[in-house]
Amino acid sequence: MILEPLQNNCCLSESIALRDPDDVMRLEALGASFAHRLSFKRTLIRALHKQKSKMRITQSQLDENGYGHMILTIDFYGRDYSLIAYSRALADEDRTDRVIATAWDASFCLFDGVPDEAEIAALAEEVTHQEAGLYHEKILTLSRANKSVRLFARVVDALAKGKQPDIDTIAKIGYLMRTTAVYGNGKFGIADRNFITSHKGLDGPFRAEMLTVFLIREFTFALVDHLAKMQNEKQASCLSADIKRHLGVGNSTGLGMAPFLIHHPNLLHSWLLVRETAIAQTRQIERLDDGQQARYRALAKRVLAHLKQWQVDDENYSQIIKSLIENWQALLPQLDEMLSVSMPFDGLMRLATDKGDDFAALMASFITEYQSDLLDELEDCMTQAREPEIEPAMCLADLAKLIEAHYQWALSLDLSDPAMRQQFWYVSEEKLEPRLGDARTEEGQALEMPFAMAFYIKRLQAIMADYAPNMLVAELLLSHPELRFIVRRVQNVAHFPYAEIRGNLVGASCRPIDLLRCKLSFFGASKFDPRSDRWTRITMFQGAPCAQGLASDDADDWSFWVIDEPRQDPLYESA
Amino acid sequence: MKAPKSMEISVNQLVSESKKAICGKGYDFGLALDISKAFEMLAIHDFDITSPVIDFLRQDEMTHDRILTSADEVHVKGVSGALSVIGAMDIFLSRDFKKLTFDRLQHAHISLGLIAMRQSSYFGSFALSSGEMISDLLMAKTALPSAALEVVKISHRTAKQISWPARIHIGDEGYELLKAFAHKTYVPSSQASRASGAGAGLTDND
Repeated sequence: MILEPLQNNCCLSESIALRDPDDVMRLEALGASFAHRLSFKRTLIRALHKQKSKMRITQSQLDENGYGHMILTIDFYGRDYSLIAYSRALADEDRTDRVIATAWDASFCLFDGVPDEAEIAALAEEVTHQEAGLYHEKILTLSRANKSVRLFARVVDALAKGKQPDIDTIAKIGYLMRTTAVYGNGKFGIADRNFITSHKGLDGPFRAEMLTVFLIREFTFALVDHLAKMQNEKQASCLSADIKRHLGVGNSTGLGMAPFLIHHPNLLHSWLLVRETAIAQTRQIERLDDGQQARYRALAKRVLAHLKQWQVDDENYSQIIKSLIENWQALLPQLDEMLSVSMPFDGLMRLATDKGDDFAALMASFITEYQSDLLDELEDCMTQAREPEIEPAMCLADLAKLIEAHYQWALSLDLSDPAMRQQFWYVSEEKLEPRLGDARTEEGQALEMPFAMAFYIKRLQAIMADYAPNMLVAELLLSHPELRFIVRRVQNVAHFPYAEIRGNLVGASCRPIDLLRCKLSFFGASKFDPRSDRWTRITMFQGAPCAQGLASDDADDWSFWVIDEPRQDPLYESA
Repeated sequence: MKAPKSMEISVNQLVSESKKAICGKGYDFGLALDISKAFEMLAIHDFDITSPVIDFLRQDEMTHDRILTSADEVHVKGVSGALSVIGAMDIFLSRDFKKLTFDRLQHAHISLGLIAMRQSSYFGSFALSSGEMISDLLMAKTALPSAALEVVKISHRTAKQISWPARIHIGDEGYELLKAFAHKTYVPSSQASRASGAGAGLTDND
């Protein structure tokens, strides 16, 4: 299909063939997404690299057990930002990654500037209580993390003995600490995103949150070094730069991610439009020179190694990964040929698309990886100021056409089947945790969040049938103000076609993890490790340069990261 | 007399609590989006939103008697609550009407926010027939007159850019009321929902 991607997006001026939103926005397709070079962790690292940002530990007040606080400050676009990290004792029985937790191994906030002693002391009580604290606009984000029970102590022990930790264990787990939430945009009184966007460098989506996680990673390195030294001052080693690069920050992600995508349809559209534009522009590349072909051949080997290191317990995901490995192995013998012909990336995408959503998503991430000159400006288009608005002058006949054009997925469902509305999304009064309920056995459906789009569409259609086609939307809404929500969405999707997820989010077969993975792929998460169909562990910034390495030449070459991969310059690697 | 207590919050706190509170009062989510946006519009222009919030949540919604249209004018008879203002603005913007008249407004402040926020999709501006621009009223923190109000369309944009405030102020009573109404939208916790609702079991430690 041809779309005119002119909805506010500065650098998307050409008409190019994009993939059909009806296909791209299916839950299964969204749930296959991979991180890519325009993911937010990648754009942050590039910005830090370009800015020649330097991090410094401006204060460390940790005791022999590692409890206390540490301030890590980084300069970014001429402004200092500080992670204030509070480390506390945590009883094993209090350690949980659920939102309902009330205590953590470490609590953090990203502070605008460098805090003074009074600010550090005043914030200690607030930040360690997270959602229960009181905050002001100098606090840009709020987060907390728990130590990895499997890895943290083992790394400290190894370092205390003057050794580096075992690489196999590092490979298996991949992080020293796991965040359980990163809050931004005015939550609990911290700074609003619209306020933060006046800070150059923090105007990209989730930029302050990504910077926070990057600095948390640095804190975990400093904490294990400190504890090793406390255990054995004479012999202790520091974590090596190589090992640091293999470690990211873990994250436990639950249902809280999903409502964001429904409540911010135009932002979702912008992200998808940029990703799809990147894919389309890459597919149009006519030829690759020898150097570029060599670089992609090397990346293809890395992709295979990365897939082999992505090991999970979940049976479904294990099957998906196995299938990806088989498909990728089958591709490798043909790759030289496919990269050398005309329109090489178009050919690769066609081949991958025939093999299903997962392989197509992986291929999309692969082909766009080394297209910096072509694609990196697109990152400026990933914000969205316009919100859905009612168009009152539209007649019902035109509204009906929009429904037919964009909601076939909903119209095709048999909504008389009780399974179509078996689940309901709600906010629990318990720490306001977003949850999913079973309508057959649980109370609370009357308070559900408005995610039953297919049902709203059918109801809208039924009501519209009672009125003349030339009636105006304004007149319909005067009689039926309860239709305002769905009418606005229908009208909006005509301008922002990637704004609506084409799937029944309240049906028995809905797998929320598809929504989580879509959003997390834009964050740049890797190694999805589902614990259920509504909860996943991930790793962030694994392979990213650490703060001391931000200036390095390979600071942007860490997609499909492989543990212990020899870091050769791929430009000179032989095929 | 003791000054009422107030607190500083973020704009997003106001908007997210408002949305839930308005739903908690019984409004549909689509209407809650508009009304919370009106609160936001007032708050970022440094209005004291305590009274508008309290009045809106405590009072029953008043509904206009009827809406009359002529070639040039939309006339809303009776007292217009928030819903009536939203509906009347839709009608006003649906055709080439020149003037929108309200006999009386229930919520003068919220109505100002509801009218002002429609300027972004109209690609023009609104003014009172007395000549005062809606955006100037916002900048001057002046509510609409509550009776015999006439709104007219201006073909050019006059909206002024304001810088996003670091904080907004709301009285304790207003904020507590928001939270109380928002609470009506939360589902009581149960053992079943605690154990399985989030999908992670109770701990998910590694």
